[in-house]
Amino acid sequence: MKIAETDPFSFKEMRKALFFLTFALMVLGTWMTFFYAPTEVVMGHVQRIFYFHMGTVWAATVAFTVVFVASIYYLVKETAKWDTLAYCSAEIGMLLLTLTIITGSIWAKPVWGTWWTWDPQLTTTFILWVLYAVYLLLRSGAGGRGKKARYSAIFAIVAFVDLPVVYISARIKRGISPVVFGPGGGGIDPAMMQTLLVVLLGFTLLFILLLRERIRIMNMETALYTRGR
Amino acid sequence: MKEILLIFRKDLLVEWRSKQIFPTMLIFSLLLLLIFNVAFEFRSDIDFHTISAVVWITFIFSGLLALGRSFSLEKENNAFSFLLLIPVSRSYIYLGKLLSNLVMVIVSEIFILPLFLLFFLFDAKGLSLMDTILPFLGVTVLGTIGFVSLGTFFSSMAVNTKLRDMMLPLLVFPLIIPVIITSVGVCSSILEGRPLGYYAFSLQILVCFDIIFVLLCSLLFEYLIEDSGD
Amino acid sequence: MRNFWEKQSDMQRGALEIEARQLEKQFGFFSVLRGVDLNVFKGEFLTIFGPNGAGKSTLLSIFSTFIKPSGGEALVAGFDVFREKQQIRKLIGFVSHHTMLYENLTAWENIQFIGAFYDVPDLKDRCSDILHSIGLYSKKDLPVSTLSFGMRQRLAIARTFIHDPQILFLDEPYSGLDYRGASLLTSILDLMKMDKTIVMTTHNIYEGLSLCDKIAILDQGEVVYKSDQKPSGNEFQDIYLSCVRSGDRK
Repeated sequence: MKIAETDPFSFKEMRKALFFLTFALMVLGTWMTFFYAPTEVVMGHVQRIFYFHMGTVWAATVAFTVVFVASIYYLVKETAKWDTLAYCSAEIGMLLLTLTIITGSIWAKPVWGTWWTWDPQLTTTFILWVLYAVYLLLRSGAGGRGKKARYSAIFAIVAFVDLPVVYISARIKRGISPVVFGPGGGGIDPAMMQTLLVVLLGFTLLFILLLRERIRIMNMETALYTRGR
Repeated sequence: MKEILLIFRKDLLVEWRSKQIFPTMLIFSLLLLLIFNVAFEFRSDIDFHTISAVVWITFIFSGLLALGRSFSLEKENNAFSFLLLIPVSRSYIYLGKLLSNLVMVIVSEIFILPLFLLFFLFDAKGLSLMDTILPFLGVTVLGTIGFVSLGTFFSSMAVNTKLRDMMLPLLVFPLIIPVIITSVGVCSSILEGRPLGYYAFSLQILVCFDIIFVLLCSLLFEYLIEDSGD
Repeated sequence: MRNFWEKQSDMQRGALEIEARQLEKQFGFFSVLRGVDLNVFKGEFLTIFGPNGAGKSTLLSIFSTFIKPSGGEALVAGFDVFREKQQIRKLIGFVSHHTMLYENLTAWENIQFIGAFYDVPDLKDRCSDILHSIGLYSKKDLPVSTLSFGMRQRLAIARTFIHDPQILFLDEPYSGLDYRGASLLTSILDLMKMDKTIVMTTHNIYEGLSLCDKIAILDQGEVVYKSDQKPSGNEFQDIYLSCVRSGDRK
């Protein structure tokens, strides 16, 4: 106990540091989005939502990958902590992906003139969202903890392998893909790039922060549950 | 190999005796056919893409109905537990069940397909055996392998969850999106009489899907059925 | 105490057939087995008693390779339950109160289907021998669903012997059996215990005690009592009540 209090890198300190760093980066990212990044010539101010859109979709992708890797570890090692990690990551991923879809729609309405279109990337995002939803549903309806963990891990692995195939097959019908920063989007302003990088880093830290907090809560739940036995 | 065939033979024998799954699948498909016709107001000017879509929706819905049942049958008397005691790799059990499910679903599709084309195209005169019917059947087999591989796999999971049969479509539908996109696309291209080059890419994706998921599922099956204890 | 028990057994008996060392099993955060140590020597009959939910079935499921233990080790006929599952499966038979039969197949088909997976020489002769021995040969071509419950139970037990397993696991085989079925099962087991190693879980004190060579009592995932001698019925009651702390845990 004493060590934990004096150690500068104790869990408590790390938690605080992570919290403030995330907070600072998110504020900085927001400020850069609105005041630092130049206004896009064609799309105008609405393009600014794209930084957050990219941030959430990036973090959701990281979350999905974490679910996949943790699921493989769970199947091999069968230790509860990997399942906890996968589950918590999936929950946060679902939240981030929902934000992605909402921000994307807000962006698409003035630019494309529609809230939604079945473009390959949108189709894949939508299916990823459904896969997250089914993953969480499977967990609530599987039964005991061991079965829940194993089944959802298996589903996550199959889903992760499936997603690239979904994307490739959705591309058979070519759509209007939003190439804003990629090749073909023309030269990108360095200020835009800097803003994007800060926002991406901010969202990555936000994801880690949320993940750690969620795992903490989950472990507390577990402790409470097992103490009753 | 011998073990796969033994399980395959046993499943077909059980189905032959009980006659539960196959007739249900067939009649369910016929009802869907009726519903689609009614919903389309018996029109005769439906385009090829819509026909293909309708055909595949029917295949997948009736197929999943059958797959949901195939593991419920094993759960009766816990017969599946005994199968797990046999000294045979779990992958073989999966492949055996996959094979028997495939045969059942494909046979029912072969029964249904002519009726579908007849009801929607009204006359099958324009269709030639070599250019349309056989390629169509080939794609049907490939697409069926795709959704039955995942369907067989997840039906053994779904019967052990609280939601049971309701869980199966939830698990399988989002995963088989590529099968639906490619199969429907290829089938409508075939009906339109397009050359192979036009839909070769879709076909490649479909074949890749089949290979990936048959392998992945037979690999993961061991983990899936490990214990039904809790 | 434990060392004494093991040494004595070592001197009396031949090879170890079933061995569990600090066996653990968790379902989620819920321990079903906690550090179970058990030895069964070749030719012995062990009966495991214990309240519902004590982990008896889980223990048998681990020995018969249905489920993987979370920790510790378990050997069956010298094979590791983690890595050498197939070898174990060839040597064991498993009977539970579920018949595990396919209702729509005939008695003959049920037996033959299972037998085909083992390298049984002259499978057909073996199947008809088995059906003769339980008096069901005349009904061999009837679907199992038309047989009476007792017949099905007999068939289920007989099917276990198709590959002549040297080790038998019986998980509550008596539950659901009527008097005739139970006495038939007892007579079969009496015959089997001559040359087979058998582990049985049961709530039936009378049958469990009369058949066994040694007993163990499991409670809350721990072996709370084991003895190389079988106690009399009255002694057993005292032992059981003093060992088992929980009778009605969920």
